[in-house]
Amino acid sequence: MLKEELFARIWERFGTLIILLSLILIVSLLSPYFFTVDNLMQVVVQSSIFMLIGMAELFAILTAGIDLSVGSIIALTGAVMAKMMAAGWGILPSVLVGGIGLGALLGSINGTLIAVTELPPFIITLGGLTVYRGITLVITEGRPIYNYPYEFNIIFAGQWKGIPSPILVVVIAGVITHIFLKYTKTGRNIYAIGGNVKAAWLSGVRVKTHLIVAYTMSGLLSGVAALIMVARVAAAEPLAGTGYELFAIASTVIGGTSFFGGIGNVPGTIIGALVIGVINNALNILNVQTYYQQIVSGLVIIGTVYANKILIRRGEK
Amino acid sequence: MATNTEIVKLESIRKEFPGVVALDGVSFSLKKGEIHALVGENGAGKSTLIKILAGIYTPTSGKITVKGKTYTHLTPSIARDLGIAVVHQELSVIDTQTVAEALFMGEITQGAGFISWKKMNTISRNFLSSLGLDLPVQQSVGSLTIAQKQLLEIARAVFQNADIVVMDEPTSSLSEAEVEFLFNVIKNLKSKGVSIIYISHRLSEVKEIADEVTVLRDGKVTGNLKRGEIDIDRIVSYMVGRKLSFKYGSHQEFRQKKMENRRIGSEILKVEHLKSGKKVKDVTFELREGEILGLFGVVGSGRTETLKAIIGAGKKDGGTIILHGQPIRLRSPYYSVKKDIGFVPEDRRYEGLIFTFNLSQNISLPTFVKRAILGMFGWVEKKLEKMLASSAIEKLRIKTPGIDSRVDALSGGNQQKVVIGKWLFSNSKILILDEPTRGIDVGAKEEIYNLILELASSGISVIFSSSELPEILMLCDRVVVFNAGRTVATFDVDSVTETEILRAATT
Ligand SMILES: Nc1ncnc2c1ncn2[C@@H]1O[C@H](COP(=O)(O)OP(=O)(O)OP(=O)(O)O)[C@@H](O)[C@H]1O
Ligand SMILES: [Mg+2]
Repeated sequence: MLKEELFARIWERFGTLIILLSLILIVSLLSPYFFTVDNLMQVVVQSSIFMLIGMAELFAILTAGIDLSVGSIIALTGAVMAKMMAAGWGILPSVLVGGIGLGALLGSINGTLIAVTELPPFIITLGGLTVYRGITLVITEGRPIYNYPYEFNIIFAGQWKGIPSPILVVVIAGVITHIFLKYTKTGRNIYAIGGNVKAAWLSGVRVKTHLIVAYTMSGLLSGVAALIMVARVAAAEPLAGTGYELFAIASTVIGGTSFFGGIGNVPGTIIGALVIGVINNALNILNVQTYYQQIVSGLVIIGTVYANKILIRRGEK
Repeated sequence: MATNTEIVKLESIRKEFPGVVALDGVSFSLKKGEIHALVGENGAGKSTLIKILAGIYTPTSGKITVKGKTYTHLTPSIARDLGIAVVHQELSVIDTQTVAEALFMGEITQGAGFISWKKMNTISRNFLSSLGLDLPVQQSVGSLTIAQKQLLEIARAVFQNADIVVMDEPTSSLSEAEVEFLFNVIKNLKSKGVSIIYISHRLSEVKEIADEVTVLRDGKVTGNLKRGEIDIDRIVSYMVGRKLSFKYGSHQEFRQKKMENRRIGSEILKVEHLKSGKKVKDVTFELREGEILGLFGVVGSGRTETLKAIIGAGKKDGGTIILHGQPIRLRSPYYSVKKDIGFVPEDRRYEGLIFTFNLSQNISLPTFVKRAILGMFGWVEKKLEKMLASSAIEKLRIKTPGIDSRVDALSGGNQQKVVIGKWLFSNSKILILDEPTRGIDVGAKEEIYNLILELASSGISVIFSSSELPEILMLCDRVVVFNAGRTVATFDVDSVTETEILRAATT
């Protein structure tokens, strides 16, 4: 009884981390190329986009909603940013306005529609997914954009004092998001809405405002993800981020976020994203054919979330 | 060995939760055709014992004997097969089902796996009317009042044809008329040989209906009274292990104390000809500074809907609300919170608590909203949060392992105290309480009445809505009587009798 309780506590805290470490152990045993400094660094860099969109998704799922438009926001903000730079706007203004700012704007549109129409977030952001993708295709005419200053790629895909910049971006965004969710009243209220929207509302929480804030943050973080996406590919691709909503959702959920809302955090999401990163990297290293990769990663995701769930539950009765 | 009349026998039951021993060697036996009341303070272990009998919890140790067979633990399906039906303290009916579906609960298939709605509705209608219950079988459970849901839940237990029926605070949201109805149902069951375990904090009810009373305190049995020995004072002394400062049931002393240090000032809130939805047709009353105003009416008389319309949580179809002399329209609860109006809703599970939040996060929520700019910006003030939580725990005597305990691990009454605690320390000028003492034990009720008095003497105005007339008469200065969505009378409590109020409320 007591032992089970202790087990459940530990698992609740460190479950995802334990899963990650076990995965690393297994893959290290399967392949000698996995556990090297270079490759591990590579995994983290590859996961950085999942971490950012995972945090984006975290905001939506914490309110008991979902954001399916993260991948399309990456593409649209990436394209607009690249176009702005190509038009001579300069890197910083383009990043702030066309990348992060536009991401926030697109997110706030999702949030406002959800708050005003009271339709399920699934529907609204499903609409967002296609509309934003469509706009991207229109403005890019379906072609990638390369003709922006190459400096941008060096800044956001390069290194700073030996640390890959994607990791720096994630650290900054992660720390801010973590503080925002954990230590500000706005963050607290977002959790409250996801926990019990009626009770939160009756306690004076402004539900609509906070929904808009949450989706705005989601869009903003997707915009940040676009910086890394464009820089790493060295182009703004119109189809960038297609299907990424699945990685975003998987990262948060593997990281212990509850679909019912009100439960979840940044550290869990980061680890969840690393789990996905390790799986993807391992499948490559182990030379699994791409078609099979999808099947395996889907199964591993389900298995991880399920293991997490039953192991937490075990101590409870 | 169980004698042939002992249908349930629990021996030396122990149940540990992390950090808490909820039951510590409890023995309990139920005879055939008996109504056995189980009483005790909030957190004494009543619901835990019941959940063990229902197969929801596994006891840490102890023996369970039902109908001569002994088990170390039950499961919900074994309990059901043994003929045990439980009406739990927290409502479990599902809002999206129809009344008939809820009644049939999983047994809705007739014929080849298809649902025969027609048959189900007819059977439900006949069954409910045989009980004397008038519920719309085709409507969704969500459209029922909390009392109707409670009655439905009870009907469902009867419908199962169980011969052991357990009711955990079935009357906590019922008014007198419905309680009487319930008692008829219970007596009827008893005459058919059904055995009943009845949990309640309303000791006068216990005295009226029980054949035997077992009292729990801190997880142990402290007293057992047979019919004839049942006496409220004795029960209370077993329950709390101390004497209460007012005698339960008679409230002369409290009434006297009530007027000490009180000063009732000028009008602060006025509601005129309020209309809201179908339930509130014409409501008029005013509230003065430092006053405790009772709202009384049978369940369904429109009190809850009135209160919600005032704070902006319900629609307002007509009438005016005047706050500090100014007509106002509060568009959502946020604005009423900002205007220093606090609201304790009647349904703690759906409207009061956030179960993903711990105790201190729940308690600090409204205070944080008030202190934030536009209700959102600002840091989470950990120190303040801790202080609010500890004063609530201390003043309301919330039984909890700590300030960061999960709220779903608290007993029902203690959860209710958390909901009250949210508002008690949030610096409200007007406190609106909708059935605040639901499921709270006699000792803690006294604590809460005293707190309300303290607040009132400090100039806070309180609206106290209750379907329990005795507590209104004891605590309030004036009482507004609701009848079918209208305010029909206002009385000064010192110059009115219970009968007068009841007559106004029901005719
Ligand atoms: N799931 C749980 N996890 C941890 N502790 C629990 C759990 N359920 C109950 N407890 C604890 O066990 C004790 C007994 O609770 P129980 O619900 O049986 O009280 P009760 O007598 O029904 O009180 P009330 O009159 O308030 O309903 C309490 O201290 C409570 O906090
Ligand atoms: Mg209980």
